[in-house]
Amino acid sequence: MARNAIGQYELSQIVPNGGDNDGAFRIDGARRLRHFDDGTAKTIIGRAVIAGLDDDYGSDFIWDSRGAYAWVHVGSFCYTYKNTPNSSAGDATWNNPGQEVECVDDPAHGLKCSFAGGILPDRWHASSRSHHPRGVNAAFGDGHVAFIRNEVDQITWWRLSDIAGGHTIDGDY
Amino acid sequence: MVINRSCIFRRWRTMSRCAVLGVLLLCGCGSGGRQSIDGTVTLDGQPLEKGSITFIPQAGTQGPTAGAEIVDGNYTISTAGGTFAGKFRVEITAARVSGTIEIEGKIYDKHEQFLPDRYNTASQLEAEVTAGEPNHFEFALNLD
Repeated sequence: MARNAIGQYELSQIVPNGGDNDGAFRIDGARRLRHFDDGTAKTIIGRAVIAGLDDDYGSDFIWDSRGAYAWVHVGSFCYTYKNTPNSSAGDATWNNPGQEVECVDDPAHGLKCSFAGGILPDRWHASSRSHHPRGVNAAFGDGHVAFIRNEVDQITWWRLSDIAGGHTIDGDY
Repeated sequence: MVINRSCIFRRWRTMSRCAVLGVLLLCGCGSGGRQSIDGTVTLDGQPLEKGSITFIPQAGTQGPTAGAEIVDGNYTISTAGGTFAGKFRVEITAARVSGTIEIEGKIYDKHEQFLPDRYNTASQLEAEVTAGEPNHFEFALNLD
């Protein structure tokens, strides 16, 4: 069974215009409170993810590493904010058809995956996902948790996710 | 003073009908929420065998990003996973094997995104999604 887990994301190289590519965590880089210019109460630092299935796909070489916190991949312990929660746009992580596949398109379990992940991380991204109806829970830097709707504006989602984008959050979420 | 009860009753009935109608109209606006999208993608005139398509709302368009996998040139985004009406930037990616790569002593096929940047990271593809009408978009891509 898939289960809920908390994933914390790092930067996404691939957030287009409207969002700053600077999430709460990044690999090999420390963050201090003073870096959170947008305010910790307005910055998401952790979000729900759905853990992938590891042995239900009939092959030792096909499993889903999403939510595996000990696995150093985008989609495992680090999550990007490119796409809105539970987006129908699939995640893109390690996906090497014919060899190891670690991102399985499994919409029945809430796990959408794109074919485009390949084995190079420059285009990897993974959304926050949950089994809750209509949205996901997100933890903010000041410790509060809020429920974010699946239908949150993409731009609001980006602005909630970057730590120092300098934009006000003017949409509902 | 004589109160015409039947008239009051009729008025109440009319008002309640209006209220019901109003709720129905509001529901109508509500179903103008998320829209399903489908369409085709060709590359140099042939259906794109495998790829991904993403609809990213542009400034002024509310709501989530949506997408789907492209299989044999076709893609479908359900209403539940769809977008709101508005203007979208569209990104299309596709990967193919482009050689091998060694990672931690093992040899892997190297899957490479091979569509030009103008279709994804620097996309110039656009779509306008409308409420209550079929949203069918055909994209004809070229490698050159």
